[in-house]
Formats: sequence, C-alpha cells, structure tokens
Amino acid sequence: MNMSTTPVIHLSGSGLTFQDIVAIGRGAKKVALDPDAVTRCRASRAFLEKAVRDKKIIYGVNTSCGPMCNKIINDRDIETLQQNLIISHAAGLGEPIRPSIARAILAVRLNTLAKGYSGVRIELLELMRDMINAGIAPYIPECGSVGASGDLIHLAHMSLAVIGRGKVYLEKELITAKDALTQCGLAPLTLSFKEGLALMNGTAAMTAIAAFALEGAGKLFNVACVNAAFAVEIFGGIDDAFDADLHAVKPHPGQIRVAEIIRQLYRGTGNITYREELHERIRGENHVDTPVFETSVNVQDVYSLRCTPQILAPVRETLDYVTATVETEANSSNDNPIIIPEKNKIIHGGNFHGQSISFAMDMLCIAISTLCNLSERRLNKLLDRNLNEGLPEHLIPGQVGLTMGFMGAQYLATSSTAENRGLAAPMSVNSISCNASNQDVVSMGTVAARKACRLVGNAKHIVTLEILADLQALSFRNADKLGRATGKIHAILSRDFQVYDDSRIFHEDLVAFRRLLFAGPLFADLSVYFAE
Amino acid sequence: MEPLERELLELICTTCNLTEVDQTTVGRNDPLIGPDSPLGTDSLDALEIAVTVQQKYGVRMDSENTSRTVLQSLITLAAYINGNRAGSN
Repeated sequence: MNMSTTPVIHLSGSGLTFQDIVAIGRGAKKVALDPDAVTRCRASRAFLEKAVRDKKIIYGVNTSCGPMCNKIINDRDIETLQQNLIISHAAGLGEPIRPSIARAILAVRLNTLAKGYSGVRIELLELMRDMINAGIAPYIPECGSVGASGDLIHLAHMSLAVIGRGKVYLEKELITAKDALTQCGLAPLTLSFKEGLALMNGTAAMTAIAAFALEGAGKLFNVACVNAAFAVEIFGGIDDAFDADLHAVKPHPGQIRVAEIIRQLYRGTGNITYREELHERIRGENHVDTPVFETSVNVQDVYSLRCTPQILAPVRETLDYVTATVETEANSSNDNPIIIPEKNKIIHGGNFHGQSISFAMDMLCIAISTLCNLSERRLNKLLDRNLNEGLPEHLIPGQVGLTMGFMGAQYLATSSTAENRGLAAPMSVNSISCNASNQDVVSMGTVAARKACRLVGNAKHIVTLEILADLQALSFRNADKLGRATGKIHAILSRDFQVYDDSRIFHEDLVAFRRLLFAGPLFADLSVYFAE
Repeated sequence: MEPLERELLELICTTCNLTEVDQTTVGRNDPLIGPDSPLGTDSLDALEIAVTVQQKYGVRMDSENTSRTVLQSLITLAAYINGNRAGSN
C-alpha cells in the first residue's frame, strides 16, 4: 500500500491483534517502533553486553546450540556462530509461504523482539521495520519446523533476508535478498551475538500463519450465520429454535450469541414460521376422526436448521479462545534466553515452545470442520428433492435431466467436507523426539498452523457453494420477504449473482463468489447489516 | 478534481444510488462517509463502495480500518487506487 495515509502500527510487544498481523502482511498497515519499546530494548541489550564482558556463560551467545550447548565458544567467534546458525538451519523445502504471510512472520518476530527482553540491537529492529515497510517478503519454504525450539527452519529462512542472503519477494518478483535490500535503500546486517538466535528461536511463523487462518475462520463464521439465516427463510423454519429464552436456559456464551445473530439477520422477515401459528394450521389439516393423522407441516425442523446455535456455539467460543491465544503469543517474548534487566536476570527456559499455538490450531480445525459439516448438510437439503420442500431438484431452473444445476457442484462440498474431517485430526499430539533427544517433546505447531490454513481454505469452498445455492433457491421463492439484514445482504450479493442455468462453467461462478465473500470486506463484520 | 476522482464520484453515486446528489457540489476533500459527508452515505454504503472499488480497480479493500482510511475523501481513495492498482502480493 503506497500512500501517505497508510495506517501505522507502533510495535511494542503488546496490543498487536491478529487483524493487525494480517493487515501488515498484506501491506495495508505499516509499522513503527514504539519509543518505550526502543528504550526497553536498549536496556536489555546493554545488560546482555555487560554480561558478555563479565564472561558469563549464556546459551547461544557464547555457547553452541541445542544438544551442543555445553560447547563454549571463544569470544572472537561468537558472531560467526550466529551466521552459521542461520545458514545451516535454512533447510526447509516445499512451496514458498505466500509473501503476505512471510511479511507477517517478519512483523510478528519484530513485535516479539520489540517487547524488550531479547537483547538485540536497535539496528536489527530498524532493519526489520524498514524491510516490512518496503514490502520485502522473505522466501520461506513451507516445510521444515517442528515448532518446539520455535520455528527454527522457517525463521532461519526469514533471517537470511536480514543478513542479505537467500531470496525475497519484492513487488511480486523473487530476487536475491541483497538486490532487494539495495533497491530499497537498505543494507544487510552483520549480526552480533544473540541476534541470530533471537531471530530464529521463536514462534513467529506459526503465529503469523495462525493469524491468517483465524482471519479466514472469522469470515467463515459470519458467512455460516448468514447461510443459516438464509436456510431458515428458504425453508420457513420455526422461530422458537432461536428464541432467546430457549438459549438463556442453556447459556453457553457462543450459543446465545449465535442465536442472537441469526435473529438479527432475519428480523423483519415474512418467511419464517411462528410456533404460535402452527397449532391451528396443523389442526386444520385433520378433517376426519382417526386415531392418528399425519400433518404436512413440520412440527420441528431438522437439526441442521434447528440446532444451529447449539452446533455453532463451540465454534464461536473456539474462535474467541484462538484469538486470545494467538494474540498472547504474538505479544510475548518467545526466544531463549530471556533478558530482564530490571530483574537483573538472564533466564534460560523454553518460551519458544509452540504447544499453545499448536493446540489452538487443532481446535480451530475441529471448529471449522464442524462448521463445514453443518454447511454441507444444509446444502444437501437444498439440492435433494426429497428434502428440499418443493424446490426444483438440484435447484435446476430449466429442463431437468438435460440441465444439471448444482448436481455437479455438490461434489465439491462433499469432498472438501471429507478432506476437512481428515485435516481435523490433531497435530499437537504428534510429538517426535529429535535434536539428539534435546527436543524430546515438540509441538508441531507450525505444521498445525499450516494445516489449519488449508482446512480454512477448503471450508471457504464449501460455504461459497452453499451461498450460491441459497441465492439460487431464493430465485425460486421467498426473496421478496427476506428479513432486513438478510435482505440487505441478498441485495448486495445479487449484483454479482446470476441464476445457474448450465450456460456457464460453474467453476467461474465459484471463483468470483469466493473472492467476493472472502477477499473483501462484506463479511468482516455483520453488525453493519443490523443498523436500522 | 482529477479525472480519476471524478470517475470515482460517479461510481460512488451509481453504486449507492445517490440520484439526488449534485456532483458539482462535492469537493475532493469532502468526507465520503458519515454525517459530515455531502453524499449522505452510511457504513453500509461504505461497504458497497469498497466492494465496487475492489472489483473495478483490482485493489484489495478488505480491512474495515483500511476502508475507513481510504474512504476519507476522493483524494485518499484515488491515491490508494493509484498506489495499489498493480496489487500487493
């Protein structure tokens, strides 16, 4: 984003939100160093420098690393150690991480270092800041880290860019880091003691990836609520399943919130069924005196409509939990050792361990996979003529049999739902001892975060198809009586929607709508639709 | 007013169906959204403008904060489009 009005986030090691991380990665926000954070960093560095002068033995400063930590490094070689650490650990492989995420990784690392307990020089922080603001994104292969001593492999690749080695993306071009820095008027840094380790030994990669997964998951939740409200209106769902008093007696916070969102979405509708009116309608169908008669009116809706608040409750609560975890991690000091001058301490520990993010990403996968289960069933109800309460089979607007409507597209939802159930298997329990058994319990948090991103991507396929099916169904009935908020959303989406009549390649509709739903602001915040 | 700014004003009026707005009275520094805007637009209009701009000019408008910043005025919106039309990676 090349403009003077670009918002600036002042990084201080506190207050950075997951939305900030995503925005910085996408170039929608720039970064500055908070003056108080700079003061803290100077104090931390000065404290470390004195400890080195006093010949204190400090891990990764004048010792080797990992299981070789008992090998003490001569003072004259302590800077070489930092460079060797980076180059030897830049050993990832696979597809490169998207430049927007790679830039976010750099930003998260900068924020954690700016907290002021890592003992790095201000020059390093300033170079990272300038790289981010110049739009430089390190080339980081996606595979390699076990997420225990942090994202060592990913962050080694990130660190290569800082020292002018390896490659980076600049203006979508993959070029050498050295050339990119030169083009941006920057110079690579020769790292001082501790700095290589401080860059690499942390959770910035998994945290930044998690922030992107979370951002997508938040929009998925909002679209899922809209799809739920559309479904209630398409099928004339019964109001009491969303009654506030029902949820007040089972007061899971997410359940109360989901029910309220759906009520707000369909408020003013002429499409839903009111329990109060059901009794007379049903009794009116019985014209003969028989022991039993079967009504054509649903006394209760299927679970995929009626139980939406209960099913999405833990999904909403998980998103809140994951948000707290990601933001705590992003604003933490997570390298080793930690230098706290005000306590006169250099503390050796394991803040680099990514178990919290790994757990959170596993939970996110379960949550979004559950959201997909619901979406896939609602979609099936729309398409199956035995379930769709009078809609055309497969929502075909033309000659049934000759044209196929949504029949082929449904496979996308079915297969993606199945794939997501597989991806929902937890990664955080997959510890494998490594590093000569020094890292004998690892988090696999980086793998978990990457997996969550993939699962969120698949989920977008499913809910995109569902919303297309909703719009198609509403082209047959009930669009004229939608609620205030659902009506507003329907009006906006209808500008880009065309009834699917087999005249277009379906994929093209999916691509356009997936972009509309998820690469724009439409579903970032539903409250905009609730205003009177 | 620059040509792009004029084009954007027309686009906004069309998108938000602002048939009663006299475009000649709208300044390039005037707020585009909110009670102080001569357009009389609200947050839902802002959303629609953001979507339309994203689609027409291929610039990403996904953050609410960014949209608010960008939609300060015709000048800021045009500058944002000019600075990002190539698209960020």
